[in-house]
Amino acid sequence: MFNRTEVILKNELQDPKGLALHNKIKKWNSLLGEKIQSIRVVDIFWTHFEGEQSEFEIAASDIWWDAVTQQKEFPSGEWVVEREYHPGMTDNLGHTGHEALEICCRRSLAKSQVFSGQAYVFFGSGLKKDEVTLITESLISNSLIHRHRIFAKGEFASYSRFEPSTIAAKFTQQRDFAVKAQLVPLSTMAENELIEFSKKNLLSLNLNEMRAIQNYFKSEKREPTDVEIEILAQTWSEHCKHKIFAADVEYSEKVSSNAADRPTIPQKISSLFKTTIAGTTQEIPKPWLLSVFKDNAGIVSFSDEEALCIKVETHNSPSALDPFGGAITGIVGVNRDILGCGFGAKPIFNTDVFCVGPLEMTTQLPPGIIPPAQLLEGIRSGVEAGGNQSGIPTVNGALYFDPSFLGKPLVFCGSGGIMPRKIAEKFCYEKSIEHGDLICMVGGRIGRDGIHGATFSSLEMTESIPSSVVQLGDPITQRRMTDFLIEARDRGYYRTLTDNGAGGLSSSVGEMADIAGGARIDVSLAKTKMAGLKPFELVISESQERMTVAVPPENKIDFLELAARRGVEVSVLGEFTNSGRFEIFYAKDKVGDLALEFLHNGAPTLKLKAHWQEKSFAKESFERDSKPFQTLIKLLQRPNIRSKESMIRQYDHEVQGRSVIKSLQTSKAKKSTPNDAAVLAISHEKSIGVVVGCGLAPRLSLVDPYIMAQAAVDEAIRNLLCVGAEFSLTDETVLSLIDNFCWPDPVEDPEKMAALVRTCYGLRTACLALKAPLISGKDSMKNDYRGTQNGEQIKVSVLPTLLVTAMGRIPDYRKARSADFKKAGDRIYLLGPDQLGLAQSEWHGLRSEIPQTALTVALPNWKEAIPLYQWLGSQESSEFLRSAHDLSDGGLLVAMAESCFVNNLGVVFDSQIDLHTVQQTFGEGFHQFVVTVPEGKSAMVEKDWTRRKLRFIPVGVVTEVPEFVWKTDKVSVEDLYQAWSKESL
Amino acid sequence: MTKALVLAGDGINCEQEMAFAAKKVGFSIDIVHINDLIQKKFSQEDLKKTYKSLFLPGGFSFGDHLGSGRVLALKLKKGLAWDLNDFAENGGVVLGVCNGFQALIAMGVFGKNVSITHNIQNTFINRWASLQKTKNDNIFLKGIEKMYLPIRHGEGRLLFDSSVLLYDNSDFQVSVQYSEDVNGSTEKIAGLVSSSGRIFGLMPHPEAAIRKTQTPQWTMNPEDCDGVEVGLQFFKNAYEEVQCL
Repeated sequence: MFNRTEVILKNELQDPKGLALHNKIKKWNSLLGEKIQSIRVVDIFWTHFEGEQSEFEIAASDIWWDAVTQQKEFPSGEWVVEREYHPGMTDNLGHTGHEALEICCRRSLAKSQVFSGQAYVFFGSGLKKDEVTLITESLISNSLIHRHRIFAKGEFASYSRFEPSTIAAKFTQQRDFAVKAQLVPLSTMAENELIEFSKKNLLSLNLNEMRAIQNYFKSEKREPTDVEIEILAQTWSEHCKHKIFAADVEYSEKVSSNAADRPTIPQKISSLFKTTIAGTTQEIPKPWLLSVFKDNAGIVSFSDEEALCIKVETHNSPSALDPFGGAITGIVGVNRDILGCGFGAKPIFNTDVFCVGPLEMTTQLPPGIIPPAQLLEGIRSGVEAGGNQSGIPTVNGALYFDPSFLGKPLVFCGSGGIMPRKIAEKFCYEKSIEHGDLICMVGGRIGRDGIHGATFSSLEMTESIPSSVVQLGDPITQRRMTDFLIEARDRGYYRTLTDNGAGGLSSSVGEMADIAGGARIDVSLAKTKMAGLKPFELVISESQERMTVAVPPENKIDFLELAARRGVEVSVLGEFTNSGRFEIFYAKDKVGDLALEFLHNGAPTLKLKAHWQEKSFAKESFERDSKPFQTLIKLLQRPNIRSKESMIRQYDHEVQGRSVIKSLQTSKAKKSTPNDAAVLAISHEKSIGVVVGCGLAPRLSLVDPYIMAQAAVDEAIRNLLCVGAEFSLTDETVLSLIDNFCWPDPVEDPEKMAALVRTCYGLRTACLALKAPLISGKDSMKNDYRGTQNGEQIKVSVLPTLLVTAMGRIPDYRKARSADFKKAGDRIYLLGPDQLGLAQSEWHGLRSEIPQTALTVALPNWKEAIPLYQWLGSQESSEFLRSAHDLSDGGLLVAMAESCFVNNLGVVFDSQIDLHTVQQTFGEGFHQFVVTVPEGKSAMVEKDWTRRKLRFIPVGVVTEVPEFVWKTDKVSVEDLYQAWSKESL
Repeated sequence: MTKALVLAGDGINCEQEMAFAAKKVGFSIDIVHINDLIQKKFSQEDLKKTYKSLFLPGGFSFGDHLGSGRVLALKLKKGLAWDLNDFAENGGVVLGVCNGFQALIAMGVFGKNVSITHNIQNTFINRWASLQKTKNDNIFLKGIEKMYLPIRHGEGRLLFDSSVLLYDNSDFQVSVQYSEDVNGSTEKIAGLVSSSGRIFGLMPHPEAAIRKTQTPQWTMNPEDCDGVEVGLQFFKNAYEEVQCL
């Protein structure tokens, strides 16, 4: 039986979805928005049901009908847009509809299917068809994911939408075609043909790599199959192999000044990763480092019983195409990294950092580029859906705007997890596999979605992209899988596991085979979303929500039984071997057989050139500002500074009940002050807390990436210190860093490559100074857009960007601090060495006519900073400090304004402070904090600071009157708050 | 031993913190996957025999895809056919929080004339809200008048059939109201209680407001950091109630 079920809200009830869409249209195009009277949204379910019609109707009424809120009559608007997914796309509503039918009918309905869609009903007599089309194509229907039809009122009335034949047409199955692996005639290809072949098949392999593959199969005396070529392309992709970080680099520099603290960078670097990332961590061995750079995430011990792991991923390319789908798969993907870390960890927090183009850019964008405002809303709601639905709080993040991110948005998704240090006799970080262990694919099914994700993201973005790379997320399937796997872990049912992310099975089984010494799988045994998938598609599809698990054969029955009881699907694909090879079968046919040695170590090393030309800057700043409070109001409105409250509120940041310090400090008066980092209880029973913060300074790349990297580390660390994380140079302090590089393509661009080299050395310098090891990281190297606009070739490349995420510990979270000023009378101090600059600051953004070379540059001074950080990271500071906030974007006055907001307090500035000095008032840079101390303790703390030789400047006093007062200048905190929060993001 | 059942599975997210709060006040806790209950054919009689309290935690059961709590309610109804009013009349108490409350509504525990749907602003919202108890009996709220609790939901807007007399009803009683409109809910209602006063559903999360350090402004008075919060009282009251029997 074929049915169409419509879920229609009663006319007299306000329709929030319709209202939200209407508001979105108004924001995007106010003229069109005005023409629309209202919009109603109807959910549609198309069902192919294998039982009696009467049975369906009873079930459908149970599932979809609600007499309080719904009506049967379709709203009679002027236009109806009916939207549905392309066949084969993940359809969560349809999937749950099917499950609900099974629940109602109390039996399995394997032959039944449910698809979902929406009808958008537009009211407004002046609307024309081309306008509705424009709205639909811009805001409702993404052609990579959806298809749609637009009906005028009359057309919709005559559309036989309930006719079984109309509905049946949606269910016509794709014809099965021969699914066979193809042989690729590689041996006879000439150089140009090799390149052409790589391009045409989106392999993203260069000539040297193609040649290596050609030679390998010559030595094997046969032609490769398409399966093998695809596996190699995934495994060797920049995304998976990090070839640029492994490259041999020739570095040179031209220096123009005689700066004192210029880094010594060798002329020949063999693997930046080995020398500056992993190598740096090796120089700071800490007893609490359990697993670094080996696993899906870095693992550190936090107490005698618990270990924490953390990973930050980027999902830039998928988010550029489909912001919602790209971001949700980014966040649930990194959650799988946590689940697949060690013997499996439970995610306890998420983080998100977005870098996007300016929101006011709505038109005149190059083809294929989604306007930033829409893009941001899409990625935000993707992270929201992924985190909220999975029950993982989103606790920390950042938002950064710059025109360069039009080329590609940067979407960083992070996650942290907790696991016992030991279960039975097994350590959490051990990843052992015995040959004979079964290879089980757990969770979602394989579809055609997400094919070539790894190789695609290793290419620059152009106007034309294949739709198969797009994927949608299904958090509920992942949630079930997560619960099941944690349960199976605690019962000792499996040996180890890893996630299916980039490259799909080719990567997950390929990597695990490397531990075991070999693997054999039959991909025809994999559960699929549709028939007719080719062997190579089965192997490389990045369909979401899947883990690959090594299960000892003696546990097979228990493992499968528990999975079935938890509603989780498992495909047993084969077993791990000790053959030294990765063998792939499709039923009886052998479709691939690769030596692991070649698969993992056969890729030729890249050779890259890097050249740096130093820039010169002003030594001293003479900038004056006679109206600092007016400038402050302008700064508070700037996108990088203004309130992000409306975004934060849409993330569930408290689920699991662990939150101690939240993203925002809030009061019942509903004002807020942003906190610097998140503090979470690692368990309900203990008072140990984990502290999470981040730092990034992309615009300092324009000054010197060596400084940019150190600024990112310093900001991340300062954020942690503000909320009370422990800090010392000894082994007792648990503090780790995670590095994420997002770069414009540095291959054949010595300047961008030099930026990468200098960033790595900056990172290394900061890590060594702080004795903070890097434990995990990721790089994304092709963040460029190439296309044509107005007949001209254009290229937009992102700013070289390093995101540093810091995870620290607070031994007793009851000593945590927040950023808000708390009591009138408290003394305010500026703490820390004077290391501020103006080049590329937010103030510079207001005065962009000044060339950066005429401004000062902030430089780090780790030697002076560390005693201060030690004091802040000790128990002693918590005896004195009532609040701490770091000096970040916008500088001193911005930090102080933010601290005043939540409790509606003011400041009387000391008259010795000169707020006309721009460098002091608005400079940004390293090492500084604004702190408050109760009046009665100020003399004592000043003495203590003096004794410790810590630099401090008394700035003023907190006042009950909510005003900033300096000499005769005044501004109300309410005006500052309005400036900051009016257009909250 | 006073045993309580905390339901888990299919996208229920808050079972751990719910169980912790209940355990803290003295309950002995079983966190049980709904599929295990169905497989064991855990009947109404089993429920009454084994447990004094049933906790339905928050989360996104079945992704909220077909309406919040709806498919979970169907699964409970078709799979277990528990009569919660009967459970309550026989000495049991039931607390449904957020998605658990939505499921109670969809199960028809509060009658046929109430429904819950998308917030009027069409967004998920996480904030703390001030709440006021009504005069109606509610065993969970003994000794509590005002509350400050976190809300974390996208579908908290309660709607009632126009024929319903909100404050004179045998199917349900209004139990807690927000002090301001947060989501477009009718009469700012945040929670309903059965006329027995023993089945309580609400959108705010008491289990996430049991420690002072969970509240948004605890750093204002760090000397009180060891204090307990109003949410814990919900569980204490429930425990004392079932102890009395």
